[in-house]
Amino acid sequence: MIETGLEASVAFRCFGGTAAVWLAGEGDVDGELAEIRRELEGWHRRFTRFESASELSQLNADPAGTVRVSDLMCRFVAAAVDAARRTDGLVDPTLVAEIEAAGYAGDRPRSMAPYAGLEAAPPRRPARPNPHSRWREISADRRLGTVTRPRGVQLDSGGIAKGLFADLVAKRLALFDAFAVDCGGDLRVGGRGARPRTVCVDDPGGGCLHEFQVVSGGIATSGIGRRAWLSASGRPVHHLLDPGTGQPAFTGIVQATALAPTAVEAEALAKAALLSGPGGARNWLPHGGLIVFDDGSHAVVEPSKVATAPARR
Amino acid sequence: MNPLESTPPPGLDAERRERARIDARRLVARRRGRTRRIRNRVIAASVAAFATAWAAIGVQLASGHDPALAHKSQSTAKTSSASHKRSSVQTDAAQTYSGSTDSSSTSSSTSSQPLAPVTTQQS
Repeated sequence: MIETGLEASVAFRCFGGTAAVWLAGEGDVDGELAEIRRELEGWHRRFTRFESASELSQLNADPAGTVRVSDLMCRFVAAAVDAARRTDGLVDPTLVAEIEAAGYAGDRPRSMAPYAGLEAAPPRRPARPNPHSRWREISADRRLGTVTRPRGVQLDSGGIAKGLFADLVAKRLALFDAFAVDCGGDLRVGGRGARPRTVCVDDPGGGCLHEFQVVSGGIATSGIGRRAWLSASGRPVHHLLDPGTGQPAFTGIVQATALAPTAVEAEALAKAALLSGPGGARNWLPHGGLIVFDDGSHAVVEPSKVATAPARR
Repeated sequence: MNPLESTPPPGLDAERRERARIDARRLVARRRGRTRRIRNRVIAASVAAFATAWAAIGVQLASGHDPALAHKSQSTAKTSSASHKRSSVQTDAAQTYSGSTDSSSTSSSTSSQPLAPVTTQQS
């Protein structure tokens, strides 16, 4: 195998941010990157909540209890339900009405400085699952190509879809020497060469908070610094909701990064860590990660021994 | 055996020997012509193959797809800030490195060049 030491890459606007792929190895690398770009852009169009013609919007608007969907939608729904189950409902994919009521009904570019107005936020407290949430009643059948959910229950693609997409692209690139997939901040790195790659944890205020050296796996970051805005009353609002209240969660953590065998797992763990607050965040980072507190300090979480089992594919 | 060097059988008269020489010269001429045609064809085919190969290489290079440079042409060179902690983790290899403080920057060796750094940010 030829190791050039350098990689081809492509970066483009997608998922309300930027998507990028790095790739090294033999074969038609440029053609592969172009095909992946087309695929990711197509997936974005199908899974955006902000376009009425998207497959996700049509699923959410369908009054039937069981709806025929694409295989990719089946995978997403299964992943979303699995994330909810793994996090005991903290990562709840059914909060569409609540997030729209909070003002997140369209693409929101950064409209204020990161963490601005936190002093006006409600008292900090850990988020809680909603015991009445109906995500448990959602199911996907890939064999039949259907999704079944209670009428009126809508799904938000959120970060779970980005993690899933990163994992799917990673599966496609598994035989290359080295690759990295960035779906709007949700990462998946790996390759046959098993070479470590530097993963920087972004500081929304600028710079790099910490670097991990990751050979293979998923990395995701959740936070309240990018998709945040001020309400009409001047209170800070963001897109990470407390399922127990349906309101933006202010837990004392403003950003959490999780490492995991897959990006979709990392996404769920990062969000659960942030929502759990300082008292419980570390429990959601068994593979390692980083926590940023709202006083500006941060803590690196080393992986526990339990977390070093081989990845599930 | 070369027909020109052969000795006519005894007993042939002069006319028959002359006819035999003429036939032999024609035969030699045909063989030389055939040899020349084969040689020309081989040369033409070699020249054509050589020209085609170099034309293909030229087209590929002109289009910016030099195989020797293909993986380098679009390389990224993001440099991360160098004054923060760094830790190493293998998430699926049953092996974990210990964290360490490191203020070094990336090396410039091509053969051992590290992979492009990537950034995880709030999604």
